[in-house]
Amino acid sequence: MPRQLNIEDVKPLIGNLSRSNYYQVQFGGLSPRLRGYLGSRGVDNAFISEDSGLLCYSAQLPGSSLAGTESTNFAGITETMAHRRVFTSLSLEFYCDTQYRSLKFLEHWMEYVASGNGFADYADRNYTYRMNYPNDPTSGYKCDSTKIYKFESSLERVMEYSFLGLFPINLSSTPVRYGPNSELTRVTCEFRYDRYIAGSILSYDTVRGFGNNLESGVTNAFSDLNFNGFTNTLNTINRIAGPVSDILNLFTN
Amino acid sequence: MALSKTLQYPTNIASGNNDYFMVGIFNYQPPGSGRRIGRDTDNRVLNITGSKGTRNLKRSLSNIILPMPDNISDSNAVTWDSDSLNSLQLAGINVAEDILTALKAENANKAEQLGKVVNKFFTGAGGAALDPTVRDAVKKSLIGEAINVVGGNIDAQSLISRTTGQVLNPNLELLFKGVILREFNYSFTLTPRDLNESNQIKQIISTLKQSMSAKKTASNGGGQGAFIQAPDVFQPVFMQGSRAHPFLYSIKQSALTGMNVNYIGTGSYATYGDGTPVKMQMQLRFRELSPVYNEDYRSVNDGVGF
Repeated sequence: MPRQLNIEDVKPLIGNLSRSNYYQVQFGGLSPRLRGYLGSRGVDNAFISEDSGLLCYSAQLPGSSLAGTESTNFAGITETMAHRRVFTSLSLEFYCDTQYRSLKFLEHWMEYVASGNGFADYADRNYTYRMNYPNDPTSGYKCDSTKIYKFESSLERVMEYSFLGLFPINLSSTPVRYGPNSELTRVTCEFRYDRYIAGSILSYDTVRGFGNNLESGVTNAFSDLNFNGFTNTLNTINRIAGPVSDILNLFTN
Repeated sequence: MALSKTLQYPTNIASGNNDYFMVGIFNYQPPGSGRRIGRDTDNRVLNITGSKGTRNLKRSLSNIILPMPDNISDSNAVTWDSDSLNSLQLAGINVAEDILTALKAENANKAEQLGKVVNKFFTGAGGAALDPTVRDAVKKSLIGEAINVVGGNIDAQSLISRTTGQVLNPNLELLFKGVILREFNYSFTLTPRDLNESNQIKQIISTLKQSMSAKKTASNGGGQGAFIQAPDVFQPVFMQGSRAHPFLYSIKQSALTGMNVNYIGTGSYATYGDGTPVKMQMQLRFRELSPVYNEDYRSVNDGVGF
């Protein structure tokens, strides 16, 4: 039977809905050789771990599906049993700065994937592509610490997604054209990953009871006189937010 | 090339409670080694050799750990076939038995005894032959067989059917004929993720190929060049963590009778920087060394048995 509600009943819920424009993308976990490869092309570590995420103007919180298998043991009824979790690819869109670092970041990351043959005679007509190993600890092209954070203006809670085995698989052609002077260059790239984990995977957060979106950390925090749990949350938010001046500098270029 | 002790792909798949497929490699021990052929260790004749499928193998030469195959199925079968035995054949068997008895009898006139046996057959001591119809059918059957001896082509059953509208009851039954050896086909997808896994895959393929090959040098010395020695044998097992898989079937010691490797699993030639193919597919065909018997299940605690 429906429950009779007044505006005061629903206000706490409807008045606290999440806004889609509070998020941050942060790339991380690239192998040393890949970082060096990108660094030698002007894409330094600071850009990879901070600026690239800030230039990401459109992202998605990742989704997944469950592959099912059907059983018809009961007449007229089809039962479905899940047997595999399927992770969909991730599409990110970036603004391109005047140093073209967004473009270089994605272009040369993909180039690195297929650069196992080295770059001697790169322009030779008989040059062939060989792949780099995906998970080699020093030279792999997949990264394991790319994250998407979702939060609100109040910064009270953070929803964290960690991607394992992420790499770019489809860099879309970037449209450029004559037109209004205000049009920005946008880069779109599709990423594949092995899987993602919702909630923090940091060992520190796991120990504190915050890992994998566990709420036990909040209880731990309240029981702690120094309120370290909440401090930890704020630290995470500070870690992803960065100084406002840096953001302004980035977007004015 | 000496075999490496333990080879594993993917790295660390045998940790935790992961499911994986393990193959132990052993030197082949002939079933009759150390005793008279056809006899067991107590010198008893006609014992079922290796009914448990174990051949007192020594320590494994190597262990190979692989991911679970892309296809896991088993097929258990025994041979049964239809068989018939009509009353004439049955009577013939009885006569043969009586003849043997008569010939073995001591202090008796063997000719007289044989005469009694033949008389017994024709007078139908079995009861059914007393019936005139049966006696007539028997007669026609024997006539047919007699004509066949001199080059005729008459089916005794047809003759009876033509004259009486009946056929001899074939007493058709499905009878057990024997056991067969099981065969297993497994397919593995090999995609090395780093240089270490590439090396492991390379060694796994090499080890399996080497171990399934016959040996030119006899280990027991002598007769070099005159004989070739059997390849190594394999003990495949499905594992979960450090124990046998709690559900899947067990496999007896087996021979690796076939191995196929497709080095272009991507559809077109593609390699890593060191030449390792990006994707390979390996198919292994095992055949058990001994059949599965009812008693084998006594030693199985978990899973579906053999």
